[in-house]
Amino acid sequence: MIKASRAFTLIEVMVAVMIISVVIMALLTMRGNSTHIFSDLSSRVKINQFASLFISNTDYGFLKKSVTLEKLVSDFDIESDLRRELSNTKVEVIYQELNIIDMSEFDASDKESEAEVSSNMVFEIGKTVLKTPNSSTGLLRLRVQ
Amino acid sequence: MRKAFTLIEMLVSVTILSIMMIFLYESYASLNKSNQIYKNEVNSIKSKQIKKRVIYLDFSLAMYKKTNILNQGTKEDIVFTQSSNSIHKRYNPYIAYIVKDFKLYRLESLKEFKEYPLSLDVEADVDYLGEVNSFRVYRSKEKDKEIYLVHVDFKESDDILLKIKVLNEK
Repeated sequence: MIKASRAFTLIEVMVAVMIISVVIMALLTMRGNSTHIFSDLSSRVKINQFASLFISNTDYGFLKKSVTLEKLVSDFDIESDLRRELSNTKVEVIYQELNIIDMSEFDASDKESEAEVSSNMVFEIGKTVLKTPNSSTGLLRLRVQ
Repeated sequence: MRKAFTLIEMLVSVTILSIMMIFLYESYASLNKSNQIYKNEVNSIKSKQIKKRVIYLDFSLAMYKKTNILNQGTKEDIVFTQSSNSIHKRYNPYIAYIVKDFKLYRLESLKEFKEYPLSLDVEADVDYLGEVNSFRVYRSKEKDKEIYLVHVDFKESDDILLKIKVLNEK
């Protein structure tokens, strides 16, 4: 006797379609992720070099400010094309104070040590962050007061 | 008795399988292609980072007051310096950055570069850094400080813009 074959139920078809769509979604996200990571990396590489503009710059980097890159290189007589290009790039500068080491605190507490050092120096460790709409970069700074 | 597959069932299943195989092959091919693109891009980022590091170390480890910039118009500068950075295992070599036919070269030698165009008896290792639209090195307006702004506008990749302070100050 031939047994009549049972058709798929709606639930079975729905589950199958769900599983296939989840797999396709996962594949698509994997591809999207790698593209995103890569474009992020390229913009990070591009902006990283701008952190060097804070070297020996006493005017910028210790306060929160919105400036153009042109202001950061105002101590150079640069070519007009480059000046125009830099003045179109707006960046935000943020300064974060990370730690303060006061040397005078160590003097009195360590009386047993033979070499007593008396110092009023205060070391301030901070971080200057340069932010553009796409990416950001940071520079650690040590300030002696 | 068990019912065998009919011809129609077999045809349908083979068609579905072949469609799936086509999609799989397509995704494999595109994965290979995108991998190749990523590899090329990563290599170009790597080489750019190396160029940045070499330029940065050349200037920051330069000897005090040994850097000479010869301006050749709005697009080109020639730089002669002596630095303790070497990529050819030399001790305090003389270094020159030269632009010739929009191509940027770095020369490293034990003999001092004195004039431009260079004399014929110069013995140096030459490294090609890439095609450029412009190569400029600006000196800080503050005369007592040796700070340079190096701008390299490459034809086929992003610019390099670095502010570099010479560490060997008197």
